[in-house]
Order: sequence, then C-alpha cells, then structure tokens
Amino acid sequence: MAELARLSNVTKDFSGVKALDAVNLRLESNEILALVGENGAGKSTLMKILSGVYPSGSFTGEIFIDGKPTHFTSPLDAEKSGIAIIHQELSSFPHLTVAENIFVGHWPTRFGLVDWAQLNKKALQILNRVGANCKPTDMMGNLSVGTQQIIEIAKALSRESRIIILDEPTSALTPKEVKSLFLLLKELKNSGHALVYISHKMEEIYNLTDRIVVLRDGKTVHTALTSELPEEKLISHMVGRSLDRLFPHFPTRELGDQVLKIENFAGKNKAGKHLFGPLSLNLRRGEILGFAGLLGAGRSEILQSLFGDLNIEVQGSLKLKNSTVKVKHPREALRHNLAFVGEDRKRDSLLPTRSLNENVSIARLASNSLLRWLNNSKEKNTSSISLAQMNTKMSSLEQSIQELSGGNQQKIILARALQTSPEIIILDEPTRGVDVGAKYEIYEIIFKLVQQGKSLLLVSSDLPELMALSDRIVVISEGFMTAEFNRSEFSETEIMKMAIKKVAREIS
Amino acid sequence: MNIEMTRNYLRRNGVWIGFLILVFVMSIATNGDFLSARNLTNLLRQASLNGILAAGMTLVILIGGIDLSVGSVAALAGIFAGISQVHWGWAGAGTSGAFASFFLAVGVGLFSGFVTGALLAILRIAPFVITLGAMVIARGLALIFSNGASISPMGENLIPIATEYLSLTLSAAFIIVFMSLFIWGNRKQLIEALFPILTFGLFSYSFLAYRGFPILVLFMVAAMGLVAFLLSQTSFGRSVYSIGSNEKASQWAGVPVRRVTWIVYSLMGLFAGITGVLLSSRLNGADPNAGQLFELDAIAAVVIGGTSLKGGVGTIMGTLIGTLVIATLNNGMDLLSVPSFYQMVFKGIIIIVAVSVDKGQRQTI
Repeated sequence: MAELARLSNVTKDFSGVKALDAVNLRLESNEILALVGENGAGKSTLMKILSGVYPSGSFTGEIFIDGKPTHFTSPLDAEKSGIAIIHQELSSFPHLTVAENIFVGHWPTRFGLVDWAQLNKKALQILNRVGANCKPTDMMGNLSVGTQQIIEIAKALSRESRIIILDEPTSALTPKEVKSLFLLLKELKNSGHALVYISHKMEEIYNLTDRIVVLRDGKTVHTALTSELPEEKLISHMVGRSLDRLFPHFPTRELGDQVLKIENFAGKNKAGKHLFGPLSLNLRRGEILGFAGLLGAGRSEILQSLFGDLNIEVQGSLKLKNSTVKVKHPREALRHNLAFVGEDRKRDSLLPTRSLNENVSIARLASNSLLRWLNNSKEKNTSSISLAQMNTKMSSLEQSIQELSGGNQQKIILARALQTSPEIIILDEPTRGVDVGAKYEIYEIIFKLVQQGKSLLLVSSDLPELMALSDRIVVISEGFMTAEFNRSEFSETEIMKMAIKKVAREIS
Repeated sequence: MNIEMTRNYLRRNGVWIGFLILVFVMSIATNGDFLSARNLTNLLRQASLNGILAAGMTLVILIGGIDLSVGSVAALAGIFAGISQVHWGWAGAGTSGAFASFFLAVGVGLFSGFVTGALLAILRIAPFVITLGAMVIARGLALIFSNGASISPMGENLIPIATEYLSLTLSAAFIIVFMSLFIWGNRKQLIEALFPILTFGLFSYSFLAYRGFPILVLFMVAAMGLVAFLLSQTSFGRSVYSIGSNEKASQWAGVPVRRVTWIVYSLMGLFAGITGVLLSSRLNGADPNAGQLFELDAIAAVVIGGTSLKGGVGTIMGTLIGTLVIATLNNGMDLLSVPSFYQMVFKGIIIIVAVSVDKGQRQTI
C-alpha cells in the first residue's frame, strides 16, 4: 500500500456556512475507502475539491498527490493527475457509441482526423479488461444502466486514472449488475488503484470496502477499518446519536374495509408496448401494501397508472371504496383522494426554481380551480405547519428548495402530497438518496399515516426496508404478479426468488 | 454584514439602476430635452405597445415557451380593424362601430392564440416551431385580406384610444389610486419597491405637467396589471411558474399543464390583438406589413427584466423595466439623431450586455 493522495486540513465555506471543516483524508493504493455520512455532511463537497471542480484557492488546506503539494485549477488538472469521478447520475452521451463515450475528448487521431479503427480497437481492449458485456459500436443509450456504469469506469481507466471516486454507483443497478460491478472494483483494487466508494447502503459498504471514513457536519468524525467497525456503531457515528433500531416499531392496528381494488388491470405505453398486468389487487384501510421486484419490473408503472399517468393506457377496472372510477389525469386522482410521490425526486417532484413554500403548496393549489385567489399569509401558515410536522430543517419558507439536503427535500415533497388530505398515498422509492437519520423520520411519518387510517402503496428497491414497513408484499416480475406474502411469511430469499422468476407471457 | 446587504440590494435592482443611469446619460447628452414632460410622455406612449406584448410574453416565457407570431398576429388583427372600419363602413357607425372594430380585432388575436395554444397542447411540438409557422401564416393572411395594401383612414371614434389623454383631474385621481395601491401592496418591503416608486413618480409628474395620462399607456398598465395579478394572486399564476420550473413534476402535482399552456397562448393572442388595433389607430391606418420584429422587442424586454428563457423564474416588474430600457434607448437615440441603422446595432449590444451582466450578478449571489 502506498499513499496516492492526501487532503490536509481542508476547509471550505459557502458564504459563512462551513461545508468542510479541517478535513483530512488519505487515499492509498490497493484499497477501497468508504466515505459515509448523512446528506449534507460534506461528502460531495470533499469529492468536488479532490476532482478539481472547486479550484485551488476557493478553499483552504492542501492536496498532496504522490506526496507533492498540488493545485488544481480545473477538473482537467485533476484528471491529468489520475483522478476520475463517476457521478451518481451518469454523465454519458446516450446518442454516441460506447467507444466514443470512452474516448470523448481524447479521440485517437490520424492526420488530425479521428482514427475510427484505432478508436474501436482501443475501446475493445478496455472493454475486455473491465468485462463489459457490449461492443464498442453499441449505442450508449441502448445499454442497461449497469453496463453504462461499467463503461464509465472503462473511461476512467482509458485515462490511466489511479484514483477512482464512485458516488452511489449502485442506486439504479439490478443485483446482478451490482455483483459484476463489485468484481470489477475488487480487481481494480488488486491492480493498485485507490477507490473511494460513497454509499448509503450498509450491505455494500461491508461487502466491498476496506476502510471507512465518516463525515458529519463537514468534519471527519471517525476513521476505522471496515472489519473493526460494527454497523450500529457506524450509524451512530453518522447521525451523531445512537439509533438502537433502523426502523421504528411496527404499529399494530386493525385493518379496515377495502378502499381500493383493481381487477384485470393492465397497462401499455402509447407505442403499444406491454408494461404490466393484467393483475388484480386490493388494499384495505390502514394497510401498507409493498411492491417488490427488480428495477424495470413494472412496479412504478403500476403505481403511476393508478395516479392517471398520461403516457400509459390502462385496461381493467379500478374501484375506490365501492365505486368504479377512471383516472385519466393526476388531477382526477387527487380529487379521488389519492396522493403520489414519484421515484425520481428531481424528475417527478422538485420545482427547482421555486421556494419551499411554493413547492409545498402546489398540489393543493393546482388541483383546485385555476382562478382561485391565493391567501398568501394563510398559505404560508399552512406551509409552516406542514413542514414543522415533518421536522424539516430549513432557514425560511422563501428559501430555494435546491439548498436543502435530499432528506429534507423528500420531506417537503411528502408534505406537498399530504396537503391534499389524501386517503390513499402512493410512495415510489420514498427514501432514495435520503440519509439514515431522515429515513428513520420518514418511516415514522409513514407509520403515523396508517395509524390515522390512511392506506399506502409502497415501492422500494431496498428489500429490508420494504419488509420492515409493509403489512403485505406483492412481487412483480416482468409486469406480472408472481407472489403475494403476508407479513408473517416475509423472507428475503423467497421474495427475491419470485422477483427474478421468468413469467410465461399470458397475453401477447 | 450591512455592506453585504447593500450590495445584494443593488444587485437585485441592477436593471433599475442601469435604467436610471441610462436616463441620466440621455438627459445630459440631450441638454435636458430627454427629461421634458412632453418627451417622457411620448417615451411611455412609444413603450406601450411593446409593453402590452411583453406582458403576455412574460407568461409565455415563464412556462418555458416562446411566441414568435405576435407581430404578425398584431398586423392581422389591425387589418381586421381596418377592413371593418373602411370596407364594411363601421367607421360611420360612431362609438359603437369603434367598439365593434376593437372587439373584432381583439377577437382575431384571441382566436389566433387559441389555435396556436391548441396545436401546442395537442401536437406537443416545440413552441418555437409552431409559433414560427403561425408567424408566417398570420402575415400571409394579413396580406391576403388586405390585398397587400394598407387600409385607411380609421374612423374618428377609434383613433382616440391611441392618441387621447385622460383629463388632468381624472389623471391625477388615477395616479393617486394607482400609487396608493402599489405602495400598500408593497408595504412590508417598501425599500424593495423604491426604484419602481421613483420611476412611477417621474412619469406621473410628466403626465400631469404635459397633457394627462395617455390612454395608450392605460392599456399597458392594464395588461401588466392583469398579468401581475394572475401571477401573484391566483393558482393559475402558481401553475405557470410551476410548469416552467418542472413540467413533469407539475403534472404529477395536479397542474392541468395543457390547459394552462392553452390559456397562456390565448392570452398572448389577445394581447397581440389589442396591440394590433392600437397600432392601426395610432397610425390611422392598417398596414399588413406592420408589427415586424415586434416579437423580438417583446422577448428582449422580458429577458432584460430577468426572466429566464428556460422558464420558472421572473416577474412582471422585471418586464416593465425591460420595456422601459428598450423604449429609453429608442427614444434617446432618436433625440440624438442616431441614424436608425446604427440604432439597431446599439440596441443589440445593449440587450446582450444587460442580460449577461444580470446573469453574472445572479450567479454570484
């Protein structure tokens, strides 16, 4: 092991708020380092400094590469020093080929023109090295997210990066893809690379990493070998208090009458592609019904079509309480007392240019008549109360929502959904990109809602979470329901088995 | 801390300060002619047509759209006012004939916007393309209906809406009511409204010192007032901001995205119709080639006022100051007898400088 890079005494403040406070970090060859901490702890800022996004001079402290003090003025400098960063949201070009993506900006040339033969040949070598399951000439956009992730790593290797930073690389991968990614990462480690792995997923941290650095409020609060730091202790370092459990106590309650029932419910997109079903389900008052399945199994589409997704054509019947209804637009869904929180916060929920207040009240206001007068002071009161109930950390209602951490943003979006006083709440990945502390609070909110007699439809790719929260779980595979489990029958292996089960197409 | 706050305050009001500097420079360069009551009144009258279009354009750009057809639609609406006045003889029908022509033209504008909005909502094609098509179609229709020639003269009952003034008493009453409402509306942060209040004061003084409140300017005040009211006081306004900020999220939140889009473009058409009839009244004739490049001045006013072309951010006060900046440039350069070809070059430079300075300021906050 040799030290490849070291950050010494790094402090960075944003107009008076310290994002990093005298942080020290050492990266060594042949090691995978886990960088953990709640959202807003300073992980991203730290990695932006290491990768040159924040140039030298915009922070205090020093960066040493191979023991020599180094100043980055741009991400390009960092790249030249052998540092590559792979972002959570992939920054690849979907309309270019794999080879073009790998060598973007570094195309091999001959007589000043791109040498395509050389490009594809070199790309193939690297693809073989990372074991990617694709050809250099494949279109990037046609590949699965997992393969794209691996190509990002190939890109880093093509630039002879020795330090590779991965920011939550598995959030959109299937278990199989995660496995092959991990194999690759371990191989890179053995060949002398230093890897920084940023993740909220405990299982991955313990499977993969050698050493853990915990950041909290911009400070490095703990460093330990992974093998010597038990999970509960890690979490208590992250949140700064000890959480005796990951989940709140599951509330015992009597389930009420049936509030939702779908029969022979099937959906296809506008192009006629089958998305899910037909399937039949019901939901009782106060119940949490979980949807398990792999990414792309059709879980989100089922929930979206219940909420009037304009791009899905549905067949079959939907009954709310005892009346059959058709929901053709989210507005109608809201009027039927449904609420919805989408899987991708940035895509489905955030109004990035608007204030917290407007973000919270939009659903309640917009689902009513367009010409309704606003009562601004009353609206602010309502918003304040909603956000206080969620225990949101914010400085003012006029603040931009982009300034908040993922967990707090999610609470704002939940508050928005609840302001329409729904009976049935649809939550798709409600804790994605949310830190441990805020997750616990969201679980508490969920349990409080069902105790008030609300019913929930829940999708989560985090199976332990889904099992801890649900009264009942249905498993979806390739758009079909392959199993249904009651809480007493929950078993991770059984659910996974049904989730990967191949389904014979009943209809074409 | 206090220096910081002052600096932020000045940054937020950068365009207003730029405007005041422009006024100052123009006054010196013209030996004070620029500041005369007559000139300032004229300046605002010249600003009015662009101001009406810019008010509608603010809504369009806030939802992340663009409307290139407004100049042509204004011409088409003007042609209908002209045809009804001259060929159909409505000019002889007194006040009711004038009203009928006015509403016919406005109706033509509204209908154009309604069709454009419907096409956008149904076809889901980029607004740039649809409105580019609409721009050419409306111009063609204006030429067809007019046989390519201007139509004049307009009836003497229609012309006053673009040329007359409120009586001094009525003007004073209107100004007092308007200023009180404005100050009351901003009572919680009067310092934020300081520059607008000063500007309103300056123009009010000129109106009263000259011939009173121009009716043409009343139309602009009404258009901007309506948009300001919709944006700040109704859930329609919230929906507009929300669509521009994130259309998909708005849809999930229950915003009727298509309906709002449709209404916004219809309103834009309505404003273009009003502009058309006012323009033909002011010129005392309807010209099928009128209104060329009006869309660009309207877009420039909105953008100088700090509204993001991506949508989701912006205010009507910004659009007002953008309109005033453009009008001041036009008026000042006319006073200085800058040849019109050079005026275009200067105006283009000012637009780029204003927007880039404003953008730079925003990023550093």
